[in-house]
Amino acid sequence: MKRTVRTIIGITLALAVFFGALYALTRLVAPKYAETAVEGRLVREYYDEQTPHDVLLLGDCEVFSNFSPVTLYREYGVTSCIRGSAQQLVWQSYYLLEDTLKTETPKVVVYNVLALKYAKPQSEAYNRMTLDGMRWGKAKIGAIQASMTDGEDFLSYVFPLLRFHDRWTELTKEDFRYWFKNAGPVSYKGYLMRTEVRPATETPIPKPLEDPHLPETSMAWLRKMAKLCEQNGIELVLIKSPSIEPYWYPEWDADVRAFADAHGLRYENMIENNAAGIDMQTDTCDMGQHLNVTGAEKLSRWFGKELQDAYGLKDHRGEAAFDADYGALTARYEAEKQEGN
Amino acid sequence: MQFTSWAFLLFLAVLLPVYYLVPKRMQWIVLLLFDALFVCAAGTLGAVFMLVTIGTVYGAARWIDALFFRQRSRIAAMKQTHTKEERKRERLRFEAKRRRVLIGCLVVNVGILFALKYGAAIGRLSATLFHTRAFGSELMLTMGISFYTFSTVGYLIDVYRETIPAEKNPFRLALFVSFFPLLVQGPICRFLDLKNDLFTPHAFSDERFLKGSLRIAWGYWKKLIVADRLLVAVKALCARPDVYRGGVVLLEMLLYAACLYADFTGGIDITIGIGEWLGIGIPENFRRPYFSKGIAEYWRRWHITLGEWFRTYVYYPLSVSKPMRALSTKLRRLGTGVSRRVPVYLATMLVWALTGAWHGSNPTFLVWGLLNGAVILLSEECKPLYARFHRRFPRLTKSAFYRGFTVIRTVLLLSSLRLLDCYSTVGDAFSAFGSMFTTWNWNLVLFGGIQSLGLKWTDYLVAGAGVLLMFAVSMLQRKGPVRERILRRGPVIGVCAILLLVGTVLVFGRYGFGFDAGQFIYNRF
Amino acid sequence: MKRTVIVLVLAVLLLMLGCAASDAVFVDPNAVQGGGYGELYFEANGARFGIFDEAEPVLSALPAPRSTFTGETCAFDSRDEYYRFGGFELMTNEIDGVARITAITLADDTMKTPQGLYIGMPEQDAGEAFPALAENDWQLTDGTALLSVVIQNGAIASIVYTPSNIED
Repeated sequence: MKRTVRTIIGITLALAVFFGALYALTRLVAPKYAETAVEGRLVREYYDEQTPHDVLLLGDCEVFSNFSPVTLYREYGVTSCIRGSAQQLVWQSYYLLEDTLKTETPKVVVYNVLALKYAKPQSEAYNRMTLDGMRWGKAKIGAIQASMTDGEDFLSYVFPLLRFHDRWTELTKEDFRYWFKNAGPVSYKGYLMRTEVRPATETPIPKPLEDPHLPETSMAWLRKMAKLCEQNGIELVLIKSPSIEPYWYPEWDADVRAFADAHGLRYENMIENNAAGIDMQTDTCDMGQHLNVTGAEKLSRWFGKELQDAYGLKDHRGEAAFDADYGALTARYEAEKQEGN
Repeated sequence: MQFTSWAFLLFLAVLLPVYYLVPKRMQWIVLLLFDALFVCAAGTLGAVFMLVTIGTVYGAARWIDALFFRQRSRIAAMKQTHTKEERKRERLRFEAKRRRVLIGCLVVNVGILFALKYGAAIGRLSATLFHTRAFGSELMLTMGISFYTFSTVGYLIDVYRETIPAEKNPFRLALFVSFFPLLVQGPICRFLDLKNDLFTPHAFSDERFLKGSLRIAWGYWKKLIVADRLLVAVKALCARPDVYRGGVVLLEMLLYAACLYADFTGGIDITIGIGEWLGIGIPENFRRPYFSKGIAEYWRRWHITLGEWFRTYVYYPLSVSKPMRALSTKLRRLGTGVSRRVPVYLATMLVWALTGAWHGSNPTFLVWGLLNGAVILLSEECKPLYARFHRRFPRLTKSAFYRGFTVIRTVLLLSSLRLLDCYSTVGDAFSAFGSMFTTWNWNLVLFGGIQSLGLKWTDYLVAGAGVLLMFAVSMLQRKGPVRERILRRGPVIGVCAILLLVGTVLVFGRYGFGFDAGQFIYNRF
Repeated sequence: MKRTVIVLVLAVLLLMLGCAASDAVFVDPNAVQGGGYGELYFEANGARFGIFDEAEPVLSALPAPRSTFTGETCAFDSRDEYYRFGGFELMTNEIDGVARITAITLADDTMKTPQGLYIGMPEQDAGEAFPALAENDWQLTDGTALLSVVIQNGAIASIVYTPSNIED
C-alpha cells in the first residue's frame, strides 16, 4: 500500500515536471514578436483593450499602418480599434470580426479590400502571426481551418511546440528576455507607428492580370462578412487605403464597387479620391507602400469626419473612462512620435 | 498510416482502451476490426489484394488439410484390400494433388506481389522496347504486401508440410495476415509463433504497458531524431552521383548505415512495443547487427525473420530438391568438392537473388543480392585459410583490437554494398565507390561540403549524439536487456525514462511544418 | 586475414571500374548561380544578362537607373529591389548574401528581347520571331529562367523573365 502511494506520487511528480518543462520550452521557442516582426503581436494586443470601440478596422498592413485611432479620438472623440495583421486574408478578417463580436458590437466595421486578391492561404509564417494571437474559441478554430497551407496541421496551433521545436537552433536574446515576461504594447489600438519619410518614385511595372476578376472564393467571404455585419446591425464600409504599391488594378476596383452597390455598402477608393490630401512625397515611410505617422494622421482626420458625418458616431470625449484610456495612450503615442522625429 | 503520423497515434490511443475494456474473448475481434480500419485507411485496392490473399490461402490450406485427412482414411481403408504398391500410388496421387493446390495458391499470391512490385518496371521496359505507352505505373505497391505475403505463404507451406494444422476460422487467419503492426516494416512472422498470443485473452498489465511504452518511445527516438534527420543528407547525396564523389561517398555510406539502422530498428521497436501493449509477443528482427564480425553473421543478426524465411522456405527445400540432388550426382565424377559445392552455390546465389528482388524491382537490388551471396560464399571458401591465420597469430586474433577491426571491416563492406541501394543505376554505384579512391577531396567534404546537404551543423550534432546513444545502448545490451534493467528500478524510473525519450523527441525530432517546408522566416527563394 | 584479402580484391576490382569516372570537383548543386540560363537572356546597352546573374556587375554595366524602388515584405526582413531603366525594369533579391537578378520586365515598345519581341508586337509576328515560345503557350523555360509573354487583343501586352521555379 505504502509502495503504491509512493509510486503514484512519484509518477505524478514526474508528469508534473515533464509538462512543466514542455510549457517552459514552448514559451521559449515560440516567436515573441517583441522586438523583431512585431506585427505578430497586433492581433493579441486587442484583448488588453480597456474600453469599447465604435469603429473596428480590419485588413492587412494597409490598415495597421495607415489609420491612427489616437487621431480619430483626439479630433472627433470617435473610439476605434484596428484588428489588422500582416497579409491578413479575407477569411481571417471575417473570423476576427466574429471573435470581436463575442465581446463587443462596434457600430461601423471598415474593411480594406487589398487582400481580396488572395483566394488561397499564402504563407504559413503570416498565418501564424495572425492566428497564434487569437483567443481560443469557435472563431479561432474556423480561422485556422480556413487558413492552413499544405503541410500544416491543426494540432500545432494547439501545441505550438510541435511547430516551433526546431527553433532551439536559432534562439536570440529576445527569446530569453521575453521567455516568461510579456512584451509591452507595440501598437496604439492596433496602429503600428512609422515615422520615417521615404518619398514615392516610380512604382514597379504591374503585370497584366490573367483573370480580370477578384477570385470568387474571397468575394464569398466578403459576402459572409457583409451578412454578419447586417445581422448585428453594423455598417460595413469597404476601403482601398491610399497605398500605391502593391498595384490596385482598375478591374478589381470595378469588382469591389459592383459588390458595394449590390449590397448597399459604401466603398471608398482613397487612391482615386484623395480628399485627405495625402502627399506621397512626405506622407509615406516606404515609397508609397505604407503611410508614415503624418500620413496616417492626415488620413484619419479626413476619414474620422466622413465616418462621423455618415454614421453619426458619438463623441466620447469627456467621458472619464475613455479620457483616461486615451490619455495614457496619447502620451505614449506622442513620445514615440517625438522620438521618431 | 505511417508510424510517424498523428493519425496512427490517434488510432493507437483509441485501440488500446477499447481492446482492454471489451470482454476478453472479444479482444481478437476488436483487433481484427482495427486491422480492417488500418488496411482500408491505406487504400481500398490494398484491402482487396489482402482479401484475395486471405481467401485463397485459407481455402488452399483447408483443402490441403482435407486432402491429408482423406488420404489417411483412404490408405487405412486400403490396408486390407490393396497391396503396398497400390497404397503408395494412392499416396503419391494425394501428394501430387496437394502440391497442385499449393502451387496454384502460391502462383496467385506471389503473382500479386510480383505484379505489384514489378508491374511498373516491366511496363516501363516494354514501353521503351516497343515504343508503347507505359502500363502498370499507376499500380502503387500497396502497404505491407511484401511482409504479409511472405508470412502468409509461410503459413501455407507449414500446413503443406504438416508442421501446423490449417486454421479453421477464416477470421482468425485474417487477423494473422492483417495484424497492423507488422504491415509497416515487418517482421515476417510465422503463424506458429503468433497464434497463441493473437487469440488468447489478455488482461491489462501496467508492467507490460510500461515495457512496451519504453520500447515504442525508443523506436520513435531513433526514427525521428536520427533516421529522419540523416535521411535528408543521404537523399541529397544519392540524388547527385555526378556531383557528390570521392571522400563524400564514404560519408554517404556511413550516414546511410546509421540512417538505415535507426529507421529499421526504430520501426521494429515500435512494432514490438505495440505488440507488448496488446500482450502479443512479436519476434525480434535485429540483434546488434553492426557488431557482427563477418557478413554471414551480420545476415543472421539483421532482418532476422527475412533470413529465416528464406532459409526455411527456399534454401533448405531447394538444397535437398530432386534436381539439386541429381545435379550433385552428375557432378560427382568431377570430384566430391565440386559435387558438394555446386548445389550449395546455386541455392545460395538463388536465395540472394530473390532476397535482392524482394527489396525492390530496380536491377541494383539484384546486383546487391548477388554480391552479398558472392561475398558470403567467398568467405566460406576462405575459412581454412582464416583458421590457419588464427592458429598462427592467436594473440592478435583474440585481441579486442582485432575484434574491433573485423567489426569495422564488416560495416564498411556492407556499406559499400549498400551503395547499390542508394543509386538508381548499377553504374552510378560502382562509379561512386571507385571515386573514393580516385577523387581526393576531403577538404571539400569537411569544409563546406556537408553544409550543403540540407542539414545544419546542429543537425549533425544531434544526429551524432543520437548515434552515440544508440551505440551505448547496444554496448549495454550485451550484458542483458536495457529495458529490464531500467524497469527493475521501479515504475517511477521507467516513467521518467519514457518521458525523457518523449520530451527529447518533441524537441529534437524531425517532424512538423518547420521541416516539411523549410525555414519559418519567410523567404521567397 | 582471408576476409581482408577479399575486401581488398573487391576494392581493387571496383576501383578499376571507378577509374573510368571523371574527377568531378565537388560543388554545392543547390547553390544559386548566375549564367545558368540558355537562350532566355536579355540584352541592353551592350550588356547581356539573365535570371540569377549577380546584380552588381550588371548594374554597373548599364547606365544609371531612371528610378529605384524597394518593395518591402510586411513584417519580415526581405526586400525586392527594383531598378527602372528606359524601356525595362530589373528586380533583384538577396540570395545567400548576394544580390541577384530575379525579374526582368519590359516597360514599353522601346526595348526588344534578343529574339525581337516587343510590347505591342502583333501575335503573328511574335510567333514567327520566336516559334518555340508561341508553341509553348507563350511561356518558355530553360531550367533557370522562365519567359512569360502575355497576349492581349492580338498583340504582346507584357514580357517578363522570372526564375523558372517561381510562379507569380
